[in-house]
Amino acid sequence: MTLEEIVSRLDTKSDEKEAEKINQKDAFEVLVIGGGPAGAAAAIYAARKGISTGIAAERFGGQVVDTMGIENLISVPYTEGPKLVTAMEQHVKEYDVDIMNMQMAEKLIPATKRGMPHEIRLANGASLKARTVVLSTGARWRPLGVPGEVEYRNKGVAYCPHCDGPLFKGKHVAVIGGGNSGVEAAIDLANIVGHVTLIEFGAEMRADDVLQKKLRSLNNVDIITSGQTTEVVGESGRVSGLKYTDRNTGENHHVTLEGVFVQIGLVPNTEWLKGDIELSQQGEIIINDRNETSIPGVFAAGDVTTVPYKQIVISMGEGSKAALSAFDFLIRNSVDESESENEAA
Amino acid sequence: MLDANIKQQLKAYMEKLQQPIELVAAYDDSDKSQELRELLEEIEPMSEKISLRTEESNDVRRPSFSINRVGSDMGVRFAGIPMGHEFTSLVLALLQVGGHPSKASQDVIEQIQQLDGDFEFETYFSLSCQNCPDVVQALNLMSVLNPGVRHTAIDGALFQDEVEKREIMSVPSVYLNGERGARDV
Repeated sequence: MTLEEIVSRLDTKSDEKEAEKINQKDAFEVLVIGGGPAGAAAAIYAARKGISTGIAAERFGGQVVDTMGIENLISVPYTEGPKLVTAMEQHVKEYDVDIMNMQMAEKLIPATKRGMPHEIRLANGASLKARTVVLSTGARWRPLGVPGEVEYRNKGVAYCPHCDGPLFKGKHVAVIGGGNSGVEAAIDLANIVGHVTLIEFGAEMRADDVLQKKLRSLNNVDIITSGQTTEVVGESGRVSGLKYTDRNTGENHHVTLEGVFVQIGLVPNTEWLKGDIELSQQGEIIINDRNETSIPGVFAAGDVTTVPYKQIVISMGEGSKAALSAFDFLIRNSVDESESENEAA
Repeated sequence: MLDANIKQQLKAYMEKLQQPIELVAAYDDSDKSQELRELLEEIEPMSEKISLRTEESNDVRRPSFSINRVGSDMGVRFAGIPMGHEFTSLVLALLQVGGHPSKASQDVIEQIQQLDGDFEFETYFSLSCQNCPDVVQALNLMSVLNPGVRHTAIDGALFQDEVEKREIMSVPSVYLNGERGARDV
């Protein structure tokens, strides 16, 4: 939660005031939806072209806010999520970019004619218009989708091991997922909690060898493979255990524990776009190598797209590409023509 | 508690204090209280504008301390020792209580000053939590700007009884007037 978010929750009239302000804005040439590394990069690249640029984001920084150590942003040997977010925000503010924080997009209404403005409807009822749009709404932790998960969220079901781990000091927890993030979480948690049970759906963990070796060397960690989590069980309002099925034998098991850390990958934030833009089976926005989507003048970048390998450095590159493609689109679809059509209509 | 380098940096910051501030500490017999005492005793001599005293009230968590502008009650309190990721929150709280302007936009500052009502916040954080400082710093700033807002930032790892009783299993967890608020996920 940022200062603005907290204040806006307490100030009940702020939503209306904000919506009014937004409705009065002119159409942007480039409007970026989402404020993670892809969105920030797109905004900077667009603004550097001297075209009117806006960025609407639910929270600036996106998933990076929740990231701990970052060691693979080239030329920056080590940084931490919130620090990188501050730096990104400062960089964007070097340029004339209209930053609209705490705005959640609800619907994309594509232009009826090539080169005409698209409309983005926001959750507070306001609408933004833009001749090109860069979608960079990112992704979020993939939920398990089993009974008890939603009910016991933040009551034992957690998604951020380094944030919430210290609250489970000495207790028994499970980590679901044997990829890099799951195994890293298990190693991290093993130092704090009493016991860690790692459950992997596949026959083998998928994490890097070095991580698997490290995990196996810890004496307070159990590893279960071919395990399908079927339910998070609770008692008096909090997690008390977990049920899983051994996929080899079909046997059901129950583990008594206090915490479940879910680390099974990401799900793209595209629910609001369904039906309006072409999505992959996984729900990612389908893009080509120029970040074009199925809608002319609408581009997409970063974790929300089909780009392989979700990484900060890749998102920054993708955001830059998307902005350059948007600029290219703008110069090829001249303003005058669309405006005269507008007048005719 | 603080190494020479950090001490020097903090001292440089404390030169920016514009108004006298006092640290009012509540200790008990625990090792953590001793640590807090050491920390506060290291901070006090960094500026003539800082004074340190102990609190007798029974209504406060121990160890904890409040940061006040002398002669007023700003309602900024840390329960536990704000090191780790919360060290920045401590530095900012000292500065802002001491009259150093925040970087928040004028719009937001005015909005905070115009908030009407009594808001007693409690935030549970962990020292290894990345996104806790944002919340702690926001609520501290609001406490400085509006007398109706008060905030205690609590290290959940140190107050485990409370954490168990309130069934807190994620940080940051924010309580407003004793009621649990929504968490930003």
